[in-house]
Amino acid sequence: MSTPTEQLQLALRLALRAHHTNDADAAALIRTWPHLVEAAYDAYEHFDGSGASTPAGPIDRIAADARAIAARAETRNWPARRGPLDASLQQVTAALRRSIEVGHAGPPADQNEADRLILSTLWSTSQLAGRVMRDRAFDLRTDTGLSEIQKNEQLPAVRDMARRFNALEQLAAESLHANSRVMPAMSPQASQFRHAIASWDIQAHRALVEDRSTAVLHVLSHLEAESVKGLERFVSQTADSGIMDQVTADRLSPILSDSSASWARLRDVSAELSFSNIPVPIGLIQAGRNLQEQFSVAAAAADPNDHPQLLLGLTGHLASAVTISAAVRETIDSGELRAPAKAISRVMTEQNPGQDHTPVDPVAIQRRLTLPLNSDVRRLLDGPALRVFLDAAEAVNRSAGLDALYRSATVTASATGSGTQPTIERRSPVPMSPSAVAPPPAR
Amino acid sequence: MNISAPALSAELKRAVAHTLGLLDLVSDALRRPGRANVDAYAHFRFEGLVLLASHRGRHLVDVDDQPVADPDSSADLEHLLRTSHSQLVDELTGPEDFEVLEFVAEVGAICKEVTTYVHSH
Repeated sequence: MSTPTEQLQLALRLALRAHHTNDADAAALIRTWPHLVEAAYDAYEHFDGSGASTPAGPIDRIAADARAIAARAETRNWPARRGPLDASLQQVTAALRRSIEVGHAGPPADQNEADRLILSTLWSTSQLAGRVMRDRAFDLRTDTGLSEIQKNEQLPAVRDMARRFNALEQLAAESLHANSRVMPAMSPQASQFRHAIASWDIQAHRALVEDRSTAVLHVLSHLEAESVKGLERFVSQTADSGIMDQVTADRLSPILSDSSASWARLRDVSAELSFSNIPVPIGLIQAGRNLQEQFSVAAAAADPNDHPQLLLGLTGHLASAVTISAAVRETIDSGELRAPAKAISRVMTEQNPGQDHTPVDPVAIQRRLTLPLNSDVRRLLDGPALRVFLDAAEAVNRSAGLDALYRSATVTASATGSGTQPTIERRSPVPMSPSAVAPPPAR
Repeated sequence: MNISAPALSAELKRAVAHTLGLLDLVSDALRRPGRANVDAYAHFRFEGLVLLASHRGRHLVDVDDQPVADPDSSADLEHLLRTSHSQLVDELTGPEDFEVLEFVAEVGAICKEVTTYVHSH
């Protein structure tokens, strides 16, 4: 009789083995992924009776996104909802399920180890899925079995999924780094900062799944636009105080500025389709405000030992912006997003000024009903939503330079050995004055 | 900066060192002339992955303490790599440093690339 920990170890081994045993069918991977994440989440919930895990941790965040992927399976162009599942990921799913079954006799001895095994499994499988999506995006162009129309339909969907899985991989990786044994212990301030980021991610996904209204889209876009502005200031502060190197900060700042403008554009378009008297989940607003506040205070008050955690939190937030914007696009594409009939009528009349009849059922307007957005109105949101997604994905790419910074902090901490206070190397911009340049060698 | 290798079990160190020897063979094979028909981008991507894994693996083990293995270059490289990856996976228990997981995942991806390469040429 195996133990829960052994089953979780088996799940991780199968996930790592899948890198070479996998059939590399991108569509099958996407269909299987939500089942795997659901099993991982169930195991995480099942073993979390002692409350040892941090609330709203990375597993909750990955699960929130997987639910969004599953919820839109019906309306997505690619992959088709029905089709084969991936055998290697199904084996991982079965091992995760089995850990719950054998866990009824007793929970794992070490809760943190169990969480780490589950998260490592999610990291490994998301990395595999991301790699297969990238390869599929390259192979698709030369696939002789598909018509040009099919290729043109599939290629953007495959690329978007590759970006999304890249973000999920980063999300899992930053958390594995953050909870590494060699990382300095997190202070209460750093913990609050990371908790604010995780809460925002969860609340945003939850709001999009539970309340498909343009009012939610409007408020979410507004809060994202403001929090990205806060993030931009945070990056500037971290560069000034030597937490982040100036080169990475200079690469990140322009894309964060673009990202904030993109969210603001989506906010403005969705505002045209929503009325202020429609209620929006208060948890979403509170999470957004809390995140903005954390961005404004975290860098200034940070203890040097918290610097790697701040950088990891930043990476995690950029990754969640990708998954949130992907969920936003899918909500729009699904045709389930609703707006007041009067607002739809107004926008459509503005779009087609010559039309002599109202484009929306007058009874629905009279009764103050909400209606699903039709394709003409959805098209108005498509462009800004795509821009938001692409900017978020580019910001994740540009944050790759941070990897070396928190890794070196980890290495320095581990090199000092246990029982001593780890020191974090200060990273000030290198002055480019003539005195800093070495003289040429004498002939 | 003082860079220290993460603490690994003796078996895992041996498995990493053995894999590093195989990665050297893959790297040599990729640099051999006569690959004019190979997609340049795919070749570059594959070589980059091998270099990355090789570099990471050399950080994981101290090569003075655990010399890189010198495998038989005439043996079936595809089979050796798959066996080596399976051995790495078997030696893992979970709480190892994240870098170890990254290395194992990269080796798995290289196995897949080698298999694809062998079957398409």
